[in-house]
Formats: sequence, structure tokens, C-alpha cells
Amino acid sequence: MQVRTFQASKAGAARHENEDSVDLRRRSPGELGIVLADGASTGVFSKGWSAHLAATFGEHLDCALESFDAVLELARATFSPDLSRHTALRKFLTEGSFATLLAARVELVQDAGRGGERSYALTMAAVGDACLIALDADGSCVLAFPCVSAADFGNTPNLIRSSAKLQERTPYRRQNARSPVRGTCTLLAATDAFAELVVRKVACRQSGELLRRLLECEEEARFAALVAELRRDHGMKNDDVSIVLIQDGGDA
Amino acid sequence: MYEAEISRSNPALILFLFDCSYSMSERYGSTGLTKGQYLTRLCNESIDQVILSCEKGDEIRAYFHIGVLGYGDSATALVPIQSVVDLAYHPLRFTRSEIDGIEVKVPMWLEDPTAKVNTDMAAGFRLAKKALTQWIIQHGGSFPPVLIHVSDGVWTTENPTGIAKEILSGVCTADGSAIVLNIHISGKDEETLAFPARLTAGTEHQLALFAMSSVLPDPFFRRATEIYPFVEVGARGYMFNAQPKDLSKFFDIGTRLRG
Repeated sequence: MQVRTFQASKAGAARHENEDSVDLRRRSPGELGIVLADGASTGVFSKGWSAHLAATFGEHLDCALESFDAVLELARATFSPDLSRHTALRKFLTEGSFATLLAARVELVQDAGRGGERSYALTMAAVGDACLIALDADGSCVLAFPCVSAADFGNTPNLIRSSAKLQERTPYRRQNARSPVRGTCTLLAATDAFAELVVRKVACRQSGELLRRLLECEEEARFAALVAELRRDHGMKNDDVSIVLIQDGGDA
Repeated sequence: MYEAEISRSNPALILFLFDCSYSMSERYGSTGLTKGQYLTRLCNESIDQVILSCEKGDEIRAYFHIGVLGYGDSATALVPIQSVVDLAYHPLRFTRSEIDGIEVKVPMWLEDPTAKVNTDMAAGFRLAKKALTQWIIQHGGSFPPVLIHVSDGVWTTENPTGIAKEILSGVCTADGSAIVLNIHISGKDEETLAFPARLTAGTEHQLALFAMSSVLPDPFFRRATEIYPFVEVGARGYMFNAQPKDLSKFFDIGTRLRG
């Protein structure tokens, strides 16, 4: 599998303020673990919480896809931000930190019964609006999870809180899915701003050009320029962006 | 107008102006506190809430500057204008409280400033105008500053209307004129007049405070209608005979500028 990861910060924010976290683990030549977490900036320690969630779910991915709550409990129990600032302590105790999460296992398999055709076996879990999208070469959408239309993205996504007690006030909805996808597809995991744009472009059959431009990105600077253009000319929300691009490189 | 994004490069200013005259030491409704004590507590809570709203990610971001002015026999800065970051790290003192069994430090910036004899409201507005004007020199592109004035009585010296109108018409950023909100508090069980669009009758003092108040710009108008559904288009940032619960709501409308 060929894997590329790009990140861009919200316009006006410094790079270190990017509250998205990506955890990628190559588990074997044909198997990849992906976790994207998007810290909500209204909360305290958003970056730390998203990084901790991504790392914990990345480390325990198989368990998380079977028993999400157990891994979340572990993440909450081991999250220890610096609470020395009195404002941070009070905000953490009264509101906590929160983030969206997408966890996925991507396995590239060879189907002996179909002339050796290769396909991806996807196993996914999500809370919120970070998405995994599979696109054909012409940009048409083969799979989108968990959001399938622009209406599924909003200003109040489901969020995972750092405290189980605080979570009781705002329960989240978790979605799980398994799906095979043709190996000729490009897989795109993305946080909400970019994912929303892709879904919107798919709906108006303009995603082919976007996919082409995306695949031309070889380095961070080119991706940053593309993001700036998408914000300026295509109505993409000004938010932190993280994406993971996966293509079958024929290596497994 | 009134659409400038509040950011670290373009922070907003919230300036409180408090009546510190002797009458503020009278009991305020059923709060068990004097007006001055209640106002002090609410002001400290409001500053704290604004700071907490700026606690983002792993830091406090300087989205706001806050100051508190007071007047009695003369006018003075009770809390000099400073950024929320400086306020967060340098309170006057801390009190202790508990959240979920964990002891936390709750900051205070203001002590009850009342007990002055006179009510030199004009001196208060004059000092406010000077402070706002100086702040705007550095922040001409920011969201217009908000002045929240709280009084329980009638001025005993010069009529402040002219100075307040100078602020309303002459103190502005590129995004609009300064927003002046006036609240008259009363410990008596009298009918409260909240955010009127018109005022054709009333005492000289009542009419003057109305004239000294801004027509609520859209962001404030929307929040006011969430709390007071009867508020009409053209409503002014003005409240008369406000009870303790109204004062709290008024501060919420005047200070919740982000989100």
C-alpha cells in the first residue's frame, strides 16, 4: 500500500496549534491501522486529548474495533494533562476535553476466486464526522463512512469527552461498519472540513478533478496550497485539515 | 458593521463602569448582599467566564481585554485594562471552591469598591471615554469596545448625557461605534424595564440613561431576544429597575461575544 499523510492548520493558527491527530501503524505489508482524532477547540487540552485518543486507539486498534468502550475507558484513565493552570483545571473539571474519532483497519486482500483481483477489507468505527471515503479513479464515491452527505456534517458533531461523567450530559452516537472495496479505489481518511468538501463535490460530480489534484500532491507545501485554494474558491470550512491517502501500490 | 472576528490579533474590549456611591451599600433584593457586594461578585464571575471562554487547546488566548472603572466622588480605574491572559495569571487574590471533590482556586480581581459619598457619573463616563479612545488607537480594526455601566441612582453632579453621547457617536473602530449598555439596579420590588425600543415617559434620569444607550447591534440583539423574547427591533442596551437575576442576564448578554 502507498500511504501519504498531509496536515494543514486553520488559517490564522500556527502549526503547533493544529488539534488534529493522526496515528498510522503499518501492521504488515498488506495491513494498515488508521486513527484520526479531531480535537474540538472549544474544549481545553484539545490537542493533547486528540493525540492521546489517537495513540491509544492506534495501539489497541483490534480491541477498539471489537470493544470500543473498553479502549475508551483506558484512554480516559491514562489521560493526564497539565492541570497546574487554575483556569485549565476548572474548565477540565466542568467541561473536559473533547474530540471526534475515526478508527479503521485496512487490509489488502487477494481474491483467488476472482482472477486474483485485489480488494480492501475495511473495518471501521467512528464518533463524529471524520470520514473514510473510497473513490474510483473518476472521483465517483464507492463508500463514505460515517457521513454520506453534506447534511451529515454540522457545527455540533458527536464528540468523545475525556470524562465519562461529563459524557452522560451529551451522549455520543458511535457507528461501526465493515465493507469490502475494490483495490483500484483510492482511500481517503479525512477530518471534517476536507471530508465535507469531498462529499459535496461527489454530489455535484466534481470530485474527479479534486482527486486528481490531491494525487498530484507529493509534499506538504503543495497540499497547503491546495487547501488554501479550496478554502478561497470552493467554500471549504476554515478548520484544521488532516488526510491520509491510500492506494494499492501492488506490494502485497 | 459589528462583524469583525474577535481574535488574538484583533481582540475585543469589555469595559465595566460601576457606580461606587454610598447608596450601593444598601441591601440588594433578597440576595443577602449589598448592591456593591453583589455587583462585585457578578463582575468577578463575568471576568472569570470570559477568561474560561478563552481557554483553548493548551493555553489561554488573548481574545479579550477587560477593565473596570468606578466613580463616586471622582473616577478611577479599579482594574486597569489588560488582556485576559494577564488577568488569569495575576488576580487580586484567590478564594477556594470545590468541583467534584477536588479543591480549585477561584480568582477575584475586584473588591467591593462602594462607600463613596457622591455620584459623579459624568466623571465616570469621561474616564471611560478616555480609556476607550486610547485602546482604539492600538486596536482600530477590532470589534467595537463594549462599555457596561451599572448604577443604582441619580447623578449628584454634572449631567453625563453629553459625554455618553460623545462615546456613542465619536468613539469607534472600523467595525462600528462603541456599544454603551446602561443598567439601573433597584433593590425594591418594582417592575423592570428591559431593552425598550422607545421611551416616551419617565424621570429625567430614566430618559437620560435611555438616550445614553446604544441601539443593540445584531449580535447583542439576538442574544437579548433569546433571554427576553419580547425585545423589539431597535431595542437599546438599557435596563431600568433591574433585579439581581436581570443583572446577571444583562452581563451575560454584554460579555458573551464569542460563541
